[in-house]
Amino acid sequence: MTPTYTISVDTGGTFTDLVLADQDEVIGLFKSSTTPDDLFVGITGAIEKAAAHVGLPIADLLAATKVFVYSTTRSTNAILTGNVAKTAFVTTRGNRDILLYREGGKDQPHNLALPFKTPYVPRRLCFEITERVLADGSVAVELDEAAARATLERIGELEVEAIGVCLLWSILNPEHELRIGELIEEILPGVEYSLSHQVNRIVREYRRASSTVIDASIKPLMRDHLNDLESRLRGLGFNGDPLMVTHVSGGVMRTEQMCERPIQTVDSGPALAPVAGVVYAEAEPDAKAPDVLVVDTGGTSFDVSIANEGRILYTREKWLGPKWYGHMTGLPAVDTQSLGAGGGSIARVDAGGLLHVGPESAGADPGPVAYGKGGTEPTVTDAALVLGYIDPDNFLGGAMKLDLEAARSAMLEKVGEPLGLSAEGAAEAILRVASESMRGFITDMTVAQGRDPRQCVMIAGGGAAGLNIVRIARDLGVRQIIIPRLAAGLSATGGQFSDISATFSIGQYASSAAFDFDKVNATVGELKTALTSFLDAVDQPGEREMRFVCEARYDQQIWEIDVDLGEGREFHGPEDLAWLQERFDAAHLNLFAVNQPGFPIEIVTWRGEGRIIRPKPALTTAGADDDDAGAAADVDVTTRTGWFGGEPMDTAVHRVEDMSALTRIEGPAIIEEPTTTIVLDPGSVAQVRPTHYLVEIAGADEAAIAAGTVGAEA
Amino acid sequence: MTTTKTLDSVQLAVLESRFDAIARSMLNTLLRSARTGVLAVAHDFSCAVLTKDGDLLAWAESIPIHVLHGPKEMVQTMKRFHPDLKRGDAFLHNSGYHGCSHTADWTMLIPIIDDDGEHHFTVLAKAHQGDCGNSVPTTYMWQARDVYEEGGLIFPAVKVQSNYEDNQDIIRMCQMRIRAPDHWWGDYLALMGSARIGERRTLDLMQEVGADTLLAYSRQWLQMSDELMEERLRQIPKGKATATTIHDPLPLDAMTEAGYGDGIPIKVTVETFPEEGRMVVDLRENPDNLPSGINLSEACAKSSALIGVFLGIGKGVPSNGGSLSRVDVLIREGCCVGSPVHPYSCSASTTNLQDRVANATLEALAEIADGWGMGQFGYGQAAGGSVISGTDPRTGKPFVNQLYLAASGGPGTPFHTDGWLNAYTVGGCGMLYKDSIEIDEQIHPIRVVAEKRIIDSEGPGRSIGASAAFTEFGPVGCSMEVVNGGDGSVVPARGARGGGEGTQMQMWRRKVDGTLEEIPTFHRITLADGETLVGVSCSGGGYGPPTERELDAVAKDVLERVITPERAKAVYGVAVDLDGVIDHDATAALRAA
Repeated sequence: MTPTYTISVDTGGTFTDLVLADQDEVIGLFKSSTTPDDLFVGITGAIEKAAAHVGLPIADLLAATKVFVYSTTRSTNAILTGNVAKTAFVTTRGNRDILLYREGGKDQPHNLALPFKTPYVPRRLCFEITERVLADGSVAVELDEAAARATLERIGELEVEAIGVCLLWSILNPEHELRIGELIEEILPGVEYSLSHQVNRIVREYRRASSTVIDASIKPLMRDHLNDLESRLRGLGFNGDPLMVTHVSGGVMRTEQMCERPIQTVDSGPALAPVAGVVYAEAEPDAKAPDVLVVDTGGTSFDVSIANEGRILYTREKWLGPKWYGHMTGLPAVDTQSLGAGGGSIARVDAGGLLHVGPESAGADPGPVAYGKGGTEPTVTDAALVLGYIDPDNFLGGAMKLDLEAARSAMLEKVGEPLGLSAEGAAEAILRVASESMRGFITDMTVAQGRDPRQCVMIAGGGAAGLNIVRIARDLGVRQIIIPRLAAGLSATGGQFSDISATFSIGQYASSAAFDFDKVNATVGELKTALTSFLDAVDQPGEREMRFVCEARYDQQIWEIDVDLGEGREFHGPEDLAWLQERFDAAHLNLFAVNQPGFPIEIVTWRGEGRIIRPKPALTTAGADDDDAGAAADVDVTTRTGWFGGEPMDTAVHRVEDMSALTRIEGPAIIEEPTTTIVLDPGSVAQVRPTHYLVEIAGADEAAIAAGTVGAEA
Repeated sequence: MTTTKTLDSVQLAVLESRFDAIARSMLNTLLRSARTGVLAVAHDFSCAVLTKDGDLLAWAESIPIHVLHGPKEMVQTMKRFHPDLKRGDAFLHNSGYHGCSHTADWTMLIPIIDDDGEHHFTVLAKAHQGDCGNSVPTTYMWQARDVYEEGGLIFPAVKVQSNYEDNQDIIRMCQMRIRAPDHWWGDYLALMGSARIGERRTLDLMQEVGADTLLAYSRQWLQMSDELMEERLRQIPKGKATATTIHDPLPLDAMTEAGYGDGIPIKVTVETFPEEGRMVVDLRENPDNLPSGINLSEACAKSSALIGVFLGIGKGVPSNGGSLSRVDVLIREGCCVGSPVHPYSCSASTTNLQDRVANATLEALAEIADGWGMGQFGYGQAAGGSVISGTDPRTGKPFVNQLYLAASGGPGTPFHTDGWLNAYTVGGCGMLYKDSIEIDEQIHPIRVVAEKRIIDSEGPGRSIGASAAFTEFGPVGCSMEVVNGGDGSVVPARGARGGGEGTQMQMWRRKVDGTLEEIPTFHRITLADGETLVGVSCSGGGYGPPTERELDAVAKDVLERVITPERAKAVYGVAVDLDGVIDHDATAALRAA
């Protein structure tokens, strides 16, 4: 029988990762360099490697592929580099500067050397329309159509390619926005546009406006890119279902649906990591915890996300670029937070003698000192090399030779001498400080989400994850870490396990003090209708489900929290309301350690997610993308000196292409996988599984330094 | 307990991060669970971990005016009034006469006591209240002749919890004297929750690494900050400069009678001692306490000078008990910017005069040498920061809150960065969040008609002061009281080192027929249904001569519609069109002229 394949591709900044699966299991990870000028070249490079692995011509592999899942940084990169459509912003009179003022706030109170971010749409392309809807949906000022026409004609003269329209309170009464949409089609045919109540129907004008202009600005290019990719894939022989594109909620959508909501692709890659993380956590019988903490470490960023009871946690404050200094997408999205830290983070000692690691990064070019490409500042990778964690002759599977001596002397000069430490001492200090900032970052995030790291099993992905994850986990009080064999392709692996899904929001106010049952049921009904029509448009098989959440707060609180409403309960009387109140009170207690049971609550937004559960493969048993990956090889154990806690130790090095299951490796040890290296500190033990390593840490409890480490306490 | 233990640089870095994480988790709890907009939106609260003596150790993203000076005095007050501290105690402190900033800044102090009953640290959570029981519905009561007219409840380190249990007598007293008591109760819980989380985390950390390690950390951390500060102050040339400024006249008979009908003159003298790595800021040559709530508390007097210093010396020096000790702020008892004598009121202590002191400090510092200090921040409280109150016709319930719509701009800096838009005031340093118009309209019976940046309102300079904001709002379906205490309508934010000054604050009442009536920026008015308050905030002062501004920056200003081509030509000497295209020949001629 010819296998039926599923291909998932994640085009990252450096590598394009491809994970191939057949109808039964994941076959392997295949990496190719990303080709920014034409992403298709890198993608076909990865497909060729996969095809070679299964012994098929590329056309035959594609012909036997039913599902192709695509995750891209195309939109994110376009936004970050400003290569988007020339976009205009149209809003209610008096509010031209919504995108400029944003929501205020900054950090570092005494640092005024930070520039105020220019708005996403330049002010000269922001226009006001005479109209006004009030907070109850009533019209205070009628739409001035003649003036609106004149404004649109002016926009046309400016050769604008896309328009984002966000009017105040369009979430309650969209008539004016809809009419402007009609006028755009009439006056400026061919100009792409987005209406805020359709892109992101939430209260808070900045977030909604930001979603809308970002969406409009990438519509032309994403439509071209996705259609081009699909047609070129079909040209190469792909004959399966419509291309599936991943979105920020960790699911996928068909190309034609995504072309209408391209903002959903922005920063979607990291959202797949927790999808994979949940699968690995479920696959490991000896690691059961209510929460899964997923970390994905690359050369320049450290991404963290959390799942609770198999459900990935969301945020409504997703920033492109740093918080306060970037743009908020405003969409509910998987809460993946990114710390600018990784192998390239630079270490320096300040005038007061304090060691800092990052946020400056040597990146990939010039990169760490050891790369020998001109880097002069010691980095985390250099530290790992000096400590013996990385083999200078076998970095990236031997693809690059590292200059240990250069790393050592930089380490000594820049960090060791100022602090009175040896090269190894300095390297240890750098890893400690880097690990500490990662630990602090994870702590902030778990605290904000009301989770306790000690109740988590950690999934560590990314090429650089294994260098210090054991020490980070130990300081957090995490007892078990799962490190996938395919750690270097966590997002692409997640693509194999993602469902077809969409999330819709409606900003409809309700108060428990005067609960409008009909309006609430109508709102939930409206969400059900929208989800049903999304699901009906998809003809793939699979179980279908809907889940609902409301975003609620105590009367006159400002910030809402999510309350799970299950499959969409209707509200008919006091019992239903009491049920909602209890769920809210409990969620508030869990997050903030206090609550006011029975105090009136306000619901601001209702959210629904529709999902078609795709058939999933089993996790892989094989290795990675080099040609002999599938072949059995002996476990190759050597010894070198690794430094732990300032002491040199004989450290077993396990170079693994294929290792029989149930092998146990005790730290200190180093496991060299083709695409990642795992450092086992003394006191940690790795159980080798066919698909991953389960690392268990002795004494994690005692080491859990609780300042900020521990989640919500009562 | 003393310790001779010495920690290495890495241990210090690790513990710094952990203390900072404690402060951040406290802030997060307050932000997300607080009730009043002034807290939950505007972030007008602070959390800190202090040594047992009250030296500032970690304060994360707190508001400088809340914490730079005062925590130590508050801790001392707590220890003086309650020598026998026990675990489970919590103390409420809002007395401007005992170290707090002003009556509206409710502060919860919790001593960190180990299992042997020894006091090691103190955590502090401080939050500006939506209402504090003043006789007028505002928390900045410049009208108050004295503390009795001010009327707010004052708690000089009053024990509100023993053994983790509330003193219900105090709760009931508050419920009788504070507007919207349900919301007050929610904020009280948030404040207590935040402080208790800080306590728990500090105790856990102490148990983990040992009290002696933490004590060694705090000693060395303060020492290290002191050294960093010393090094920075050694870089500033030796000099002495005095800056004078005038706070707007207050529409109060008592002030006119006291001789301040033309405004309140403020004088700040800064002297640098690079050879010692020290600095002195002298606030003593200023008027005596005034018959207005505008007097500064001692905490605000010293904090405002310190804010000016820390902003003006550039980033990278942690502001804590160690570095603060290198700046001597000289004050005088009974002075309006010194130590207030009871019963003079310091209700509006965190705004008005404190803005003048901090800005004058920046200006004096800039006069000493190029590269230091900066232009002045625009003044508060602009119309976007009005305190509104009334009865919501949709629910029949009373409401009172401070709005945080776009406000005054920040100054141009010596670091080649332009002013931070919507900096609010020098005390806020841009840290405050801004309201969502839709959320404001959802929770209050108001309509926000406009919130916009004003073109050509920037403070010109090599680095420009951020533009002023235009805001307009009014009640919907009811009348509404509005209270403001806006400075800067007469003397605006000045520029530094050749930079130009910002624009003045202005306010109008727009009547139902659309006509505008200018009103004083210090007012308590009632807007009828259909009327609006129209306001123009201050912009920030510029830094350096505008004719030295980079050409590309001027072109971008025109492109972003910060300024018009006409102003580019007249003020910056740059010939540039609306598309940002520079005529280089014409520009060279303009700048040569």
